[in-house]
This record gives sequence, structure tokens and C-alpha cells, in this order.
Amino acid sequence: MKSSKSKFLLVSLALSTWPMSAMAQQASPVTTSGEVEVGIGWVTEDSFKFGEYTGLEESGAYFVGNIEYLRRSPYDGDSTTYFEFQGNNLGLDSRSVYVEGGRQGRFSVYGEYDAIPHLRFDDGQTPYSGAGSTILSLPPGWVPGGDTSGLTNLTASLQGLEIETERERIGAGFSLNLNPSWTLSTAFRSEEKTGIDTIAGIFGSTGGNMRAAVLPRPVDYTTHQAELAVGYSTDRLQADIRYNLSLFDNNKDSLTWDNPYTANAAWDPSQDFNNGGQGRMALEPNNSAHNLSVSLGYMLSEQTRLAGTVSLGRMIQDDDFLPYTVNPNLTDSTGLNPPLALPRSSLDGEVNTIHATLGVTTRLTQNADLKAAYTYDNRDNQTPVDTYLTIPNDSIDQGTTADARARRNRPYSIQTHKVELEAGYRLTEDTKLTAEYEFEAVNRDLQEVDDTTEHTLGAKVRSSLTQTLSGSFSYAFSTRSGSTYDTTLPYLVSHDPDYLTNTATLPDDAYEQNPYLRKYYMADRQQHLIKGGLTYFPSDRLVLGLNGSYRLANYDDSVLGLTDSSYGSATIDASYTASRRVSLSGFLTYDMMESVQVGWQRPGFVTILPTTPVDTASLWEETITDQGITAGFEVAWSAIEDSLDIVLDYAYSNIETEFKFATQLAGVLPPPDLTSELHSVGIRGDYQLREGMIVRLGYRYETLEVEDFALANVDEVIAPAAFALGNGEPEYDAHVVAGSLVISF
Amino acid sequence: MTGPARFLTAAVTAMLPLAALLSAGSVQAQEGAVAQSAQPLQLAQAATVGSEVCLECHDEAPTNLILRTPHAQTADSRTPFARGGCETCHGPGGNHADNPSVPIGVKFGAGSEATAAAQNEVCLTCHQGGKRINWQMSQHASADRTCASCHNVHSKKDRMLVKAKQADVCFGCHREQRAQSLKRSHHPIQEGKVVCSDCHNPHGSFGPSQLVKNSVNETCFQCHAEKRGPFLWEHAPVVDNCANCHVPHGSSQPRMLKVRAPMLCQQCHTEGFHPSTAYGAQHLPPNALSNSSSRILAKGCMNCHPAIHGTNHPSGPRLTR
Repeated sequence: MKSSKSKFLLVSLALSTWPMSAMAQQASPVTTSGEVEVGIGWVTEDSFKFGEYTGLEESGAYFVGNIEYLRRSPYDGDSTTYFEFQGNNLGLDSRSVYVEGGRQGRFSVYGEYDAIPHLRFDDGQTPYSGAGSTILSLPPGWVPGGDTSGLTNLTASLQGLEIETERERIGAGFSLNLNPSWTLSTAFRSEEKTGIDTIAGIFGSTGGNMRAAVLPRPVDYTTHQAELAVGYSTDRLQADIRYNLSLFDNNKDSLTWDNPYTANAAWDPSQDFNNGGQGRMALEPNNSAHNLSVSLGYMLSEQTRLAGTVSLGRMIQDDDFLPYTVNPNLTDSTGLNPPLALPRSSLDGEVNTIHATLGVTTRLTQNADLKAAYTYDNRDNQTPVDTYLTIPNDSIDQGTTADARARRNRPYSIQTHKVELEAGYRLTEDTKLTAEYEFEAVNRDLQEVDDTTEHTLGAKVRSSLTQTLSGSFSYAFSTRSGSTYDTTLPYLVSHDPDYLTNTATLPDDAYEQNPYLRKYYMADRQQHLIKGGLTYFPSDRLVLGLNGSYRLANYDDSVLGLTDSSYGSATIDASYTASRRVSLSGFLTYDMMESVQVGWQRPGFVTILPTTPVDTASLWEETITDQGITAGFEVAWSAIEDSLDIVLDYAYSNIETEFKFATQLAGVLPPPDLTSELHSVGIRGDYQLREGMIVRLGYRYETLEVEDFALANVDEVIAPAAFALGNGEPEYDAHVVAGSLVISF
Repeated sequence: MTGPARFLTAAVTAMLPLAALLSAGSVQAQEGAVAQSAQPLQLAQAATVGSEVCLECHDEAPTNLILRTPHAQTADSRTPFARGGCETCHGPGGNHADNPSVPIGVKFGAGSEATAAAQNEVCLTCHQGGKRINWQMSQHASADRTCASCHNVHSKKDRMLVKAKQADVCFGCHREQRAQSLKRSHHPIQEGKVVCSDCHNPHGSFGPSQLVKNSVNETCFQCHAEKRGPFLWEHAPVVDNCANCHVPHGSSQPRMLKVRAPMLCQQCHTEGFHPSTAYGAQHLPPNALSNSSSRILAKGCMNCHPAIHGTNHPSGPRLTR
């Protein structure tokens, strides 16, 4: 991150020099336009959340710098040379530069630099040193405990922590018109994402004896992307052949941290702080992806067009595995140290993808048109399957293949067929009816449901009801059903045959989930979708809009899991041009999202089979409802014609999440509401000192209030078995003033 | 492959066309053929008058700003002004020039009497290739959106091509997404660092929801390549669709989740012990903290299962390593 500014300057200079020399070759006059803004701003409050993506997180002064420069050959000249330079937020960590130039119709070249900060919070605390590196150490004198109550110097050991990452991208591209029909283009982008995020580190052998700590984890990614494309275009035939390459490198492959706890009786004694106990987490492995696509469009006639694509992809991941454990004292089931070796040194993971679409659109008559498309999509996971003799959380010795801890990986494959039909008929010049049908069949491998099929039928009407009123309304109904929901399959395919054949508790234990659960993305579902809108424009000056949508999904066959979900929104829009000097616009949106889910509380060992009667006394049904009001308006006022322009804007967002238990178990209370309320108001005045010179003054006040039970009223310790970073609710109250001189030309 | 080697591989791939630049001389030789083949569109029965006549009356911004745009470059044989000037797109203007109350052949945008298809056909005459190859199948085409609904060619810089302005255009119709982008957890759309066209191809793609890639996940992997894998231990709903758990335009829950953890996780995880627990206020301060509190405070389930997108650790089937 420290090199950010130097990289930015280097790229800016490099990209901005060549086009100037290219432009110098042309003799004819050119048209230029642009704007340079230079000034200073002031922020009143330190807040990571306020500066989340802008970099305005620290109180104090910042440099205001924006540049726009466009230069183009005269429209009737002999040359088509052009050059463009954009620089935004030059004084902030969110700065960007874009440069493009070339000879229109011949070639173009661009270069870009973009920095995107992501500031999550700056009020975290951790006892670990080494944040940002791959090794986290507890301080000298650390007092371990069996649980957090025994961590007696935790509070005294805490040090401040800022959780933030930054993306820094450079990119370049080139396009060449080989002849009127053929175009060759390429683009390259390299991104570094660095910083610190959060991750959990745990010890323990089962869910009953876990000990956890939320840790700072390093983020040090490099992603290179390249694209090479050839395009062909004539009146009747268009083609696009494209190759994409993506290479992801994680420069930090793991995170190792000291165990802050003493060993639980269920753990191996070596996994104790006093015995040098440590854990090691795998961070994301390097991977690569290749994709080659060929797309074609062909006008069969003036009324009929074919378009389709075939896209072949491959995703590869073969990073070296970490060992089963970082704990050097653990053994295999016979006491041998080190434990048994991995079945392979790396995954040799490979996913092949095929995506193919063929569509036809045709105008059957003057008033009727038809669209039809078929899509095939296949994610074929060719990753080899092996049995891994896992060592849970570096905490106990290795088992055998006859042990439940011996697990087989599940490389998921998904295959989809989709047919879409759309028929439109223009009833009158102003009214059009559309009917839609869609069929989708999905085949999943290694999951509970092999096949799902979904039919969707819909209709839409769109009409200009009067000269000043237009509207649309649509309704669609879909029904999805699946093949037998196999509740035992995930368990059976993920355990070694030795375990499955030798364990007497089968089939009672053969359920990864309660057999009454239906996972919502595969479950049988009926869905209704309604959309509508009206636009009223009584005069050239006024436009009013009313739009809304509502989606309701029922999972009626799901006893447990998500049983209902809905989403709805309604918006009123208005824009009004009061005079040549005053215009107003605004909107108000209400939106809601609701999910209803059912659980079956089982605190102890209770075997539940598909034939076990549902214990209604243990069921809980929870409804979670998000409701929000979002609003905004803008007033633009030319206070003094040609001299003073004022723009006032306001944005408001108030979201509340409510939890309700319809079926409430004894002692269970719904969590308190989650709320977030944002107000952002700004005013900007542009005063023209003289032609091409403006003084700009701006002020913004923004406040965010959050009530979040996950962060409120709790410090680092969140449970006897866990401590976190102690960050609080992300609230702020920030004022920003800025003044700048804008020179336009 | 080492980091530098991977960088070189990508860079070399990207630079291959530079070789083609060496043959740029052939471009000039072919240009004459273009000028001969380019003909003004036959949009209406009227005489053509030439752009100079149009500009006698339409001599103010924004109309005359067309002269400062790529469309007006007469030396580029592909442009409207290399063919018939204003009339290439708007149709012959003879009748209109004779009597301004007679409308021009094709007017674009709001107030046009031409159908959306008729307006778009003019643009598609030159712009059917590349990213617009599947326009006719797109949701925008089905909704009778016109090119001029979003683009303004009579502008020095089309607002759709300006990062800070593009979302405002899209939000004019996509109101739900506008509201979501103002929620507490969002992509930096309002901040102008992510634009709609980073993920969507509004001209019609071959993927769902007009996404730029063939699937939701492939689109997300453009910026989140670390989640691509494939991993040794995959999390099935992640492989299935990122949108199973996330609202990409913004949500009021952390990390743009649809629902707060642990409730979101419990929509699929109901096994005995802690996944089956009804979490609530009884696990929150000021009540005494229990181990159940660790599943509803801070990162929720991710306080113990951090590798929620999958992991390559051989001992990570429960996504704890």
C-alpha cells in the first residue's frame, strides 16, 4: 500500500506522454474541451465507515483534484486523432486515471489506474501481534485459560487494529480496426489487493469443545486478467471470438496463530498454549481460469435474426496442500508421528464449463413477434475424489478410514438446460401484449436433489393509455419440482466406505441434516412475480412515476428450512422543470424482504429419521422482515443566470430488520430489531468568476446511525468459548466542506 | 507457475495484437472501399439537404455538440457524417427543411413517434456487432428500451461512459437497485468505483440477467477471483450461485448478506446441537453470555466456520480451516 502513490504517478505519467507526441503530428486545428479542478477540502470526523470507499476516513484537510481533457480532430478534417484524459479523486485513496487515444477508425489505446479502498472498521482490538503477516503471536506473559474467563490479561494485551483493504489496478488495452469488418482488440488488467481482513481461528475436536478467536488475516492477492478478441461485423453477419485468461495469486498461503487457550480435556495436550499450541489456516489457493467463446449473430432476413454463442471454460487449482496439521506432536491412529500422509500433494482441481445458447427472434407479422432461445450450461467438476484422514483443528490425533473424521471431498457438478419463449402482439399502436414461457431443468451431482425442473408462465401488457399516461403490468407464475430429496446422500458420499460399512449406527446417523429439511435452492417451490408501473407526464415540465414489484415464493413441501420468502418494492418518482433556471427531481422507495424459516431444536443426541414424527414441541418458526424507506431529491437552481449555479441534494435510507417467532420455544426471545438510518445532504455552488473560470464551494453533512445486536453492548469476549475484535456499530456524524477553482476550456 | 511467470503469461497474451499493428498500413489501403460502399439509409421519401442546412437552425447545444463527437468524424468512413451527416440517422430532411412543422424522419428518445425497434434499427445498422450481438434477445429490447433511453450521442461525453454518472441513468428504471445501493452494506456504486456495466451488459449478453459473463458466479469472480477455486472442500450453495446468500446491489446486513447469520445459515443447516438452536435475545447482553452467544454475536456462524466459500486445507471439511 505504501507504494500506491508512486505507482499512481508512474502510471499517470507513462500514460499521458505518448498521445501528446502522437497529437503533435497533426497540423489541422483540433477541438479541445476539459476541466481542471483544484482545491482543498476538510473532513470533521474520523470514520472508517464514512470513508469506506472514498478514503475520506480521517479528519482534516485533503486535496481536491479532478481533471478532464478531451481533444479531438475537427469533425470535417482529414484526421481522426483523439485523446482523452480523466483523473478523479486525485487527492484521495480512491483516485483513478484513465487515458485513451488513437486514430478513430484505425486504432485506439487506453491505459488506466484505479484505486479502491475498502475501510471496514478501525475500532477493533486484538492481543495478537503480527497483524497483516502470516504469523500471529500472543504477547509475552500471556495468561491462557480453559475459556475466555481464564484469559485474565486479555484486556491488558489488546492493541488497536484497523481492518481495511485496498485494490490497486492498472490496465491497458488496444483495439485495431483491421478493415471495415474486422476488429482486433485486447485488454489487460493487473490488480493487487492488500490489507487486513478478519477470519476466525478455532481449536477443538467437536462442536462441543471448540475455542475460538477472531483474528486479523492478511490479504495479499494479485490477479492478472487478459482478454483477446476478434470481431467481425457486416450488415448480415456478426461474430465475436474472445479468449479470457484470469490468473489469481495469493501471496500469503496460510495463517498461523498461537492458541490462546489451555487444552480442553477432549484435545490432545499438545494443543495447549503452554505447550506451544498453534493453529494453521489455509488461505485461498492460487487458481487460474481460461475461457474461449465464439458468438455469432446472423440476419436470416429483415424479419428474422439468429444469435448464439458457445463458450468453453476451464478453472484450475493445483496449489500444494498444507499438511493435515501444523501441530508437530499429533500422531496417526497407531501413534506414529508424523501422521499418515495426504492422498495427494495437491488437489489437481479442474472444472470444465460449457455454455451454449442459440436464440431466434422474428417478426411474424407487422404486429407480432416471437423470440425463442435454448441455453445449455454445464459445470463439470473433474476434481479427483479421495479420502482425507482429517485432523480437526490441529487438536487431536488422526483417525483411520473407519473413523467419521475420514472425509471424502465432494466436487460439485451442475448441468442446466433452459428454454425461453416470448411472443409479443401489438393490439393497437399503443398497446402491446407479451406472453412468456420458460423451462429450466437442472441436474446437480452429489447433492440431495438430482434433478429439478421449473416452468414459468407469464404475461405482460404495456400501453400508452393516453397521450400523457403510459403503464405496464406483468405477472409470472413458476413452479419448481425436484426428483426424490435424498436426505442421506451427502453423508454417504462424504464418508469413507470403511466407515460406512463398519459403523453399527447406520443408517441412524446417515443424515447430514435433519431429514425434514429442504434446502431452498433445490426445494420444490411455487413463485409469483408481479410488476407494474405508471408514468404520467402531464406537461413537458413534469414527469411522475409509480412503479412496484412483488415476488412471493412458497416452499410448501419444506417442513424445515426456508418455507416462504417475499420481496416487494414501490417507488414514486417525480421530476419537474419549474423554469429554465430551476429543476427538481426526487424519489421515494419502500422495499421489504421477508423470509420465514422453521427449525427443530435438538440440544442433545436425538436420532431423527424420515419416519420420525415431527416433534412440534421442539419446532420454532421465525419470520425475518426487512423494511426500508429510501428517498432522495435534487434541486438545481441557476440563482444568477450564467454566474451562479446551486445544486442541493439529499439522500435518506432507513432500514429496519425485525425478528418474530411465530412458534416460540420456552426461553426463546426474538432478537432486537436491527436498524440503520442514513442522512446525506449536500449543497454545491458554482460561481463563475469569468468565462471558463468557476469557484466551487461545497458542503456535505452525512450521518449514519446503526443498531446492531451483534456489535452492541459487547466487548472482545463474545462467549465463554470465543473472543472477537470488539468493534462496535459503524456510526458517524461527518461534515465535509470543500472549495475549489474550476477552469474549463 | 510463479507470480512473475503468471504475470508474463497474461501480459504476453494481451499484447499479441500488437503484432497486428505492424500491418496497419493495410488499413489505409482498404479505407477507400468503405467510403464507396457506405450509403445513406433510406428512411423516408424526401430529398436530402446536408448537415449544413440542418445546422443553420439547430445551431445550439446540445444538438450541435454532435460535431464534437466520434459520430461526426467525416474522415472515419464508418461514421454517419462520413455518409449522409445528420440525415444518416434522422433520415432525409428535405421536407422538414422546407417546412419545420413537418417532423424529421426519425426522432430519437422521449417524444419520438418512431417505435423503439425502428429507432434502434438505425443505431444497429453500425452497432450490431461486439457486445450488442444479442441485443434482440435482451430484456431491454423486450421492454422496448431504445438506445436513446440511455445514450446521448449529442454530447461531448456520453453519460453512460462516465463512471460517476452511469448508475444514475440505470437507476432511472432500476429503482429497487437504487434503494439497495444506499443500504449499509453495498458495492461502491454510489461512490462511482463500481459501475453497472462492470457486471451487466445492458445490450444483451448470453448470460442471466444480462450479466457480462455466463453465470452469476463467473461475473463475481472478475473481482473476487480468490473465491473461484475449485476448492478441496466446496460449499454447495456457493458453487450453485453467489446470489443464494448475497444481494449484490446492497443490503442492510454485513457483507451484503440476504439475512443475518446465523439465521441465513439455518435455512440449510438444521442438524442437531447448535445449528438447530433458536437464537435470540436470550443469547445477547445484558443476559449472561453463553457459548450460543458466539453464534449470534460478531461474525455469527463465521466465528468458527470462516472458510465459508470453500477451503483447500486437508482438514477443513467443516470449513473451519
